Amino acid sequence: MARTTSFSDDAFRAMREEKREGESDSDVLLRLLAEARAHRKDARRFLRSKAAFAFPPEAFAKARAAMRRADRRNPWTE
Amino acid sequence: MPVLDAMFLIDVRRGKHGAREALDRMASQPEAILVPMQAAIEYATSLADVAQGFRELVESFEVVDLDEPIAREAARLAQEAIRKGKFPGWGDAQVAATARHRGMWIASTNVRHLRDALSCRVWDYRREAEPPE
Repeated sequence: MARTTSFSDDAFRAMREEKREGESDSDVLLRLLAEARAHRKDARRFLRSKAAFAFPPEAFAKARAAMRRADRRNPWTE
Repeated sequence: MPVLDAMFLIDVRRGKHGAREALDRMASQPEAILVPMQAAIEYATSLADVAQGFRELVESFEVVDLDEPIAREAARLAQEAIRKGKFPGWGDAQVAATARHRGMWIASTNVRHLRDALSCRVWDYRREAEPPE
């Protein structure tokens, strides 16, 4: 089922400024979406990563917990 | 629009807790996916080859530097959290500020710090079926 979408005045004005001759409002939106997809980095590339881990999971979790404790230090109270 | 934290990136790499499916779902949307520099450092630290880890992040996502507007937002959020008695640490404040500055939500299991203390919209992908609107 199609959903209606409301735009703020600013968003609507910005969309109108992007409009090319002969394009409807929905044409502009679809073109902008396609352009955004084309310029976006490929996040699925990360799913194919083969980088090896440096530490066993338990050791890294322990180090990360220590790092987080250290990160909460407050310079005003030391 | 999503911001990824280090735990999410590690869950993706380990293929745990539905993180790969969650990332695949985000990748099907047109919006950019951001990784704050703080999360990039934490993730890369877990890898045998740090340089390769950074290269893969930069090729896959928008890795966001800590610039002045984000730093200002981080300081403001840290201040609010201190007033609430829930200061979660400088690293989380940076991740939260990146998301808040860009009007984005964070894929993270760290609900206590990011949602409760730093007032961010969070998708706890391990427990919640849907990301925030």
